[in-house]
This record gives sequence, C-alpha cells and structure tokens, in this order.
Amino acid sequence: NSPPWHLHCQFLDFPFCVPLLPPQVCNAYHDSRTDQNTFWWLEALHHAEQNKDFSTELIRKIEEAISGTSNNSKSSRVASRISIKKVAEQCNPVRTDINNIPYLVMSNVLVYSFRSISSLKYQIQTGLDQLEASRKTLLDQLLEIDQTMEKPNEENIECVGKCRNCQPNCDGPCALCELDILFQDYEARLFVLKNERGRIISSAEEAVDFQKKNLALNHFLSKLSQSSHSSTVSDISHEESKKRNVGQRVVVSKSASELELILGVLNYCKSRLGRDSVSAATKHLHVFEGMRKQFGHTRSLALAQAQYLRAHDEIKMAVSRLHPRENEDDKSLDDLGENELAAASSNFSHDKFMSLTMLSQIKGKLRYLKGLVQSKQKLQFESPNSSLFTRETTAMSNSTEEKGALLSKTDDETCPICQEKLGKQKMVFQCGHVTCCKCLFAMTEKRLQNNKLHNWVMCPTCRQHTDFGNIVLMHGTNLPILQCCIELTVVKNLKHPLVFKAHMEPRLKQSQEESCG
Amino acid sequence: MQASRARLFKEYKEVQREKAVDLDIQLVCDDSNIFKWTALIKGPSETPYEGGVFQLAFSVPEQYPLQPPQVRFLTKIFHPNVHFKTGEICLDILKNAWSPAWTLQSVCRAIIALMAHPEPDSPLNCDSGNLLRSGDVRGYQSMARMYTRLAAMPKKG
Repeated sequence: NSPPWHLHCQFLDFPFCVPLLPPQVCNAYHDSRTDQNTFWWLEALHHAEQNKDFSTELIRKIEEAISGTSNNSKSSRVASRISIKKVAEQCNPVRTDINNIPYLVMSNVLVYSFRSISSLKYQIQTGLDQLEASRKTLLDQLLEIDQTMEKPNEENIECVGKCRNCQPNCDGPCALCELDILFQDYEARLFVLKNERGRIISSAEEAVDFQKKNLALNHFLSKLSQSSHSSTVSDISHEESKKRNVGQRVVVSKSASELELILGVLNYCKSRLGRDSVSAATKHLHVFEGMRKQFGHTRSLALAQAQYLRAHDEIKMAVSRLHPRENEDDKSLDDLGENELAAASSNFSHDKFMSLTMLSQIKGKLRYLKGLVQSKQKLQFESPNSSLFTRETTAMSNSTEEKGALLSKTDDETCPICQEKLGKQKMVFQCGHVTCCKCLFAMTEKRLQNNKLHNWVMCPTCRQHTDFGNIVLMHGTNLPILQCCIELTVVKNLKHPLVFKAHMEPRLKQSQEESCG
Repeated sequence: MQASRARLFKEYKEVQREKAVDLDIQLVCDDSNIFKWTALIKGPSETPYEGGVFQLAFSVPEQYPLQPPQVRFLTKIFHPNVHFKTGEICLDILKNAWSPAWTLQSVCRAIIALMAHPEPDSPLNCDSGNLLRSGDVRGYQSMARMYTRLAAMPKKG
C-alpha cells in the first residue's frame, strides 16, 4: 500500500522513529499569539496539520527545494530565491488526488525525510535555537576582546605568541583561535556547507566535527614532520600521501541554509497565513539575509583584532632584545655588551618600525569596521524591528562609540586635504584613511562636474579607490547624506545647461595641457 | 574659494615653522596675492645641478587642493623633463596623479627628486633626452653642469 519511495528510505537505513516533541514547542505555540515575530511558522504548520492533503504537498515541495539546491552546486542567492518562489507557487493550489503524487527521484544526496508535520516543527525549532545560541556566544566573545583593544590584555598578547595552532610547539589555543572555532560553528549553521566532492553536508554538527578533525590531523602531521628531521625520500612521499588525506576540506557556499529555505517555502504560502504572520515572516527572512551579510564584516573584524595583537607581540619582542648588560660579570643570554649594542639597535629598530607601520594600518581597518557597525545600527533604529539582532548590534555600537571618543582624543588627527582638526564626524575610506565631510563632498562634486560619473573616490593618502557605498561616516548615517548630495548635484547640472557648458571649457584646457605634457 | 585660502594660510604657517629645518627649499608667498608663490631650491648633491640655486614660480588655482598648482622653472636648466624656453615641468603628480594630500613643500621635494632622477622617455627638452637615451651620460652631465654654472650660480664679482 505504501508508495515505492518509502521503500527507498528503508533501503538507505534511514531511522523511522520520530522523536517526541519537547514541551518547549507546545508552550511556544501557545505563546505565539503574544510574540508572533519569532513563532509565525508555528501558526503555518498548525494550519497545515489540519489539512492532510496540504501537509503532504508541503512536505513534498520542501524536499524538492532542498534537493534542487543540492543538485545545483553553483546556485547563487538569486537562483535560490527563484526556486523558492516556484516551489511556493505550486503549493498554493491544494490537490485532492493523493494517488497522483509523483515519485521523488532519489539521487546520491542524503535528503531529510519529513514524514510528518511534527518532526518538521521539531527541526525548525532546534535549528533556530542552535543558530541563536552559537551567534550569541560568538558575539559575546568578540565584544569581550573588542573592549580590550585600546589597552590589550597581557594574557591575550602572550597567548598570540604562544598559540599552538598559529605556531608549532606551544601551549593551548589563544583567544583568537577560540574565536575561530566559534566562527566555524556559526558559519555551519548560517550557510550551506559542502564537501570537496560536491556532496552537501546535511547537518551543522557534522561540519563542525569535520573541521575539528582537520585541525587535529594538521597538528599531528606538523609534530610528525618535526620529530623526523632525518627523513628519507620514502618518508617524504609517505608524509605527502598523508597530507593529501587531509585535503577533504569544507567548502562554504554563500547560499542560504536549509533552515532558511524551509522558512522561505512556508513564507510564500501566503493564502494560509494571517496578515500579522505574513509581515512577521517577511521580517524574519530579512533578518536571516542581514545575518549572512554581517558575517563577512564580523569575520574581518576578528582578523584585524588578531593582527593587532600580533603587532603588539612583535613590538614587545623587539624591545626586549635591546636590554643592555648591567655588569661585566653578568652572563645572561639576553644582555648585550657595549660593542654589540649599536649593531643590535640598528638591526632591531627596523623590526620595530615595520611593526609600527603594520599597527597603524590595522588601526585604520578597525576604524572602518566600527563605522560600518554604527551606520548599520542607525538604519536598524529607523525600521521598527525590535529583535535580538538589533539589541546585539546596539551593544556592539555602544562599545565602539566609547572607543571612537578615546581614539579621537589620543590621536588628534587632521584632515589631509584642508589640514583642519577632525571633529567628531569623519569619513572613513575602505583602506582606513580619514577625511572630513566637507572635503569629501568637494571631491565628489568636482568629479560630477567633470562629467565623469564614476562610482568611486580616490583616497587622498594612498590613492586606493573606494565605492561610494563603502565610505563610512563615523557618528552618523552615511548612505542617505551621500546619495542626497549626488542627486542634488546631478539635478543642478541638468537644470542649468549654461553652467554645464561652462564646466566643459576647463576640461578642454586640461586636455590641451595633457597633450603638451 | 575659502577652502583654498584657509589651506594656503595653513601651509604658510608651516613654511615659516620649517624655515630653519629644511635648508634646501625656501618657499615665499607673494605679498599681495596668496595664490602666487616663489621657491628657491638647491640642486641635489652628486648631480650636475649641484651648487646651483633654481627659482620656481607657483600659480595656485582656486580649486586647490582639489586641483594641482602650476609650477615652472624661472631659472634656465638643462633637464629632459623641463622645457628649456618656458620652464614647464613634466611631472605626473602635477597632472593626473595629483592628490589633495600633497602640499607646495612636498611638490618642491618631488621636483628636487626629479632633478636627481631624470626620465628621458617623456622629454620636454629633446636635446637632453636624446643624449640620455643614446647612452651619452657624460655628454648630458657636461651640458647640464655648464648651464648650471651659467644660469643657476651667483656671478663671481
């Protein structure tokens, strides 16, 4: 009596027993009327449970959506959205013919088998909880390190120098490698992860465990290569064959995770949802997209923190090498005699200057990232969404505001163009260099008047190009002001053609000068 | 307009402060016009221009620092990148590679660097450019040294 695709499931030894629903889900559904922002999907599934035909159709469409993304290994965000729409449109007409359900073609992909709505509820609830937990742990750790950036913790600096993952033969992992592990966990739950062979890793726990094995194996191989200094040709080939086994890496594709895909399918069944649930579902999916975009910036912030601590460590080591010898009888290794001091000083001061240069570059990057956080926080405040996402960005931006005040007091910077002291508001380019607002608008206006509609500005200090959308205004919103400025300038040029012609003449003169040159 | 004036006043103060420090460059502003400057630069050592003092004329546009200043040599100089008659200078930072972070002082330093490292591939003075490209370094240096003594050294009274 059962369809043949059930037989395929039996053949694959997939477990049939469905775990019992935890009481959290039942309580969550009762609370969904008061807090619909997070539990809109429970209402949709509750309606689906009452209609067996619709629930069967829904389960089949979700399976098709998931297997569709697994087959298209190079699908982008737009493609995944289109597939979600197509699947959702087919869900709306409820078919009454159970016998006409087509058989699901089973490929090599291990696909979830949602035999009932209750197991689907359990999976969504578990996925959302784990995503929120890993995200919260990651952000707490990141903020804790971020608050010590002005005066870095001595333990963190020493840990960077002695980290076993970063360097061989050292003690336990440093704070930043712990952050790395948290990033892997969060990444596994937010994106779709794949094997090198193109097979989708079906669960986040499997991906995290996979990466941990890679780390342990790499550590083991590095120790093995150190112990065998006198290695023969066969040993070298043996090690290479072992290192090739480590090559099963986890490839991160930038498409949405399965959890988000399921919620997307539910969202497009709009005829089954009320008005409040529809708006809540749309906001929820926007939050998912925002989290995926934010991941890149968060990652680069962590990398900048790591480089910052390493720069401090190198400065410390350079200074410690210049310890003069106190007495002639002193025989400690670190001390230097009068003859050696001059040579060592010239040698290590070079290292110090290199470290200081790297430090200033990294400070610029950190400044840029903090500006990004502030601008996003302002945009979030304008929209009435009051979710955990907003609270966490608020906490992050509060700490960055305090640091911004400290930085402006200590550095006392000037604008490289007008050479006035920079006030509270400054424009930060992607390379980390700073300008005041007036000069940036003057540069922008000059470009538009020359009838060259570029989307980028050249940094006055290092000549690197930055798109308009990537310029960050510290202590304020950046995008609306810049866009208004550009639009006003364009409108002015269009409304006054005489002025437009007047600007053409200096361009001709410039071209003549260039030909002479 | 106001921005360029404010910037030039700042540079004037900086020039007064650095007078005693940087002996190779003397920047002077015109008494009645802050957009006209004159500079005296020393020829760099170990070059045929050593011992000479060269005068530059700066004409600062109203769009400064968003547009580069116009600089030319008032003293005759035998250099592949300087026009012999007009004193015009072919230097990329004064044209397409200009950045608002440059100042008049740093422009002078760039011109001194250009004197030490001529670029014969884009000449304004064809004679000196041809000498260098044909490999006659000695001939070029001899001519440059002669013109330095004629035009850029104080006359022995």
